[in-house]
Amino acid sequence: MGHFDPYDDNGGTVAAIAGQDYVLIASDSRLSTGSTILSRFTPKIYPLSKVTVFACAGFHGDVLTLVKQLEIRMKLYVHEHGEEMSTKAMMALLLPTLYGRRFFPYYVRPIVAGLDREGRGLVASYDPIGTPEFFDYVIQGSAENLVHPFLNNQIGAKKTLSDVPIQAPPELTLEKAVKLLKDSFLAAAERDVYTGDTVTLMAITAKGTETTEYQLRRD
Amino acid sequence: MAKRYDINSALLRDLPLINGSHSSAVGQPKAHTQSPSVSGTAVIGVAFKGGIVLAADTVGSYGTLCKLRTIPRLLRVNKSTVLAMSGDYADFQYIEQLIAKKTMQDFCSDDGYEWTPKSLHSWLTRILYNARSKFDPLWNSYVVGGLEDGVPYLGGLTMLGISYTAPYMATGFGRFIAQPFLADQLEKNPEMDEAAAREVAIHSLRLLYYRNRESSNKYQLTVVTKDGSVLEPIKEFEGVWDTALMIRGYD
Amino acid sequence: MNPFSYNGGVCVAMKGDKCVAIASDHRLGAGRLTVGTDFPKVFEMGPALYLGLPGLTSDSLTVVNKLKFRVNLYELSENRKIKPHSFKAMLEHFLYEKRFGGYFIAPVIAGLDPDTDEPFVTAMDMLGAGETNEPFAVAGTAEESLLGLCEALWEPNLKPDDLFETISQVILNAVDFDCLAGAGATVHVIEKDKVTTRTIKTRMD
Repeated sequence: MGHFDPYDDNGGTVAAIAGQDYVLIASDSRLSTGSTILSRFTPKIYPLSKVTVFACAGFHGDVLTLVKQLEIRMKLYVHEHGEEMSTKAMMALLLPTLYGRRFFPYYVRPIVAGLDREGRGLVASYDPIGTPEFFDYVIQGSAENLVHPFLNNQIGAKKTLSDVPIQAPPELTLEKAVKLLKDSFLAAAERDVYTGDTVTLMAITAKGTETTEYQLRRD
Repeated sequence: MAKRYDINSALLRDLPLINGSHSSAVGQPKAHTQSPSVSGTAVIGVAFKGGIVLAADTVGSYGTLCKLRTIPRLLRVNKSTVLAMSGDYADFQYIEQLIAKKTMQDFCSDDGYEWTPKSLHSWLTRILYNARSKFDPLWNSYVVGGLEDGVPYLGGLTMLGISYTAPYMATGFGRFIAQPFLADQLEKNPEMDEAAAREVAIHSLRLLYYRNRESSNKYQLTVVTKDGSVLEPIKEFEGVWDTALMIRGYD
Repeated sequence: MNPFSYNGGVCVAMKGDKCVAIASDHRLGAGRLTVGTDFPKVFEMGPALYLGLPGLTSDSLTVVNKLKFRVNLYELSENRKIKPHSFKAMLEHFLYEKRFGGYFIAPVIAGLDPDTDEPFVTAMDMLGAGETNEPFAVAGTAEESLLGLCEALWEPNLKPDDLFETISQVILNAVDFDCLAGAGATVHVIEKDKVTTRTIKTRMD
């Protein structure tokens, strides 16, 4: 008789960069279990409102459930307040949502990204039980160890010995950010078997949302 | 870390995928059903231009025993929605009952609402996810197919509540045997028509028949197009075993 | 405790245009305790041949000595300098001799061919399974970080100065993410008739 394991790891990588007047979110589209690919067409990015998106790697069953939970809360908020929940409010909401399952955790690596009321970019990442971090650039998932040092190198002003807080410099434009995340995912797909197929980049500015896709390695 | 399951292959099921340290049931208060008994193996799903086709053989295996030879593993839900199952047959029958009940409730509401492939896929995901969260999993993976607002929809679902969509899919042993073939065929012929999709689906079953001891040459198809859904009668294909003569060392 | 990460440390090597570079960090640890901050893991095996040996330090030092002995013997009997290719083969055989109960090391080789000046870079596992067709080689406790950085930052035909900058950025940013490596780094840039060795400062935490 067996011991049932309710968890699985479906791989995948998500990343986000917050700028002065934009936020950029990226995800690959591979969904795998063990050494087999379940789907090559599943980007792990989920828009929650006009200015807020959720992106999440980890166990896809939990990811889907969490997304549903957040969508429901967003809907209830709209009915009650007549406007969409702000990005900051969604970031605050995710913490108790994750911690509520402290003793049977959602096995997820989430990112919330969006614009604040002034149109500035905001990014937050969480561990599976809800500990938040508010960095201007973030990467979660199976290739985070490969890519995080690269983003640190290119954005985080870590080229010197100074301990500059991890913030995106004002001169980091959306075009540069797109280039960085594209390179990051190309590098990740090169060496991480759980990252690949396509990368979806979603750029949110005051003008609206723009989504682009690029091919990655499919092996 | 999470362990990997292939729920549909007795071959893999016999492997010690179960952690030895937990295997003792002595002194354990309660054991839910935590392994399948009578089970179906791979199913195939292919989306084509204007519809989808699902295919499955008709065996119900009991471990390595071919216990039931002619059981349907496809379900026609309504004119736009069909379902294919692999894994535990009893759990599938329970799901069939749940679907029938919900269908009846919808019918009685008389508001014109009925299952669509997307809604069935989403609902099934919740059922399976909730079961796994209670540590009492429904030991199935499913392929949901049909037309969603006239657009072909193909959704996959595993016993842990992992759901996804793709233009082609296979469960269980089919992930290894049929998926590569399906990917290749759809790459060569992205605008596949119904006839081609049927052929591809049947050939996938044929490949499985040759290499998967749990499968058989008795199979069933279901097709959804704008004209509605059809659950076809059970058919058989002939195996071609000429190549078997070239295998040496077992005679 | 994992012997590969007990002492901590990383090594990376990269090909350039008629040059090659190899770098390692300076930390020597005992588990989570840092016991030394002046311990590079790259060893000179010839005028244009360097060997990086992150892993269990006692094994690294043993391997260096045993290997240097074999290299000396080879060069005496052949009366010529050993080529990086031959050195790689020698190391592979040496490691595989201990197939059951090997040295807990992750070797990286960087060198220039003494005849053709062709850059040579390789990494192998503790049993001597190596890969030679890559433009860079990484090993140690920050292997993934190094690999990701190399993949993103490296480009073909880097001149010695650019190669130095690239490999320095790679090792600097990789060890900043690794608690078991860091405390400065040493970079050797190997050219035809010259080896430039530089020490770079990193965060010391």
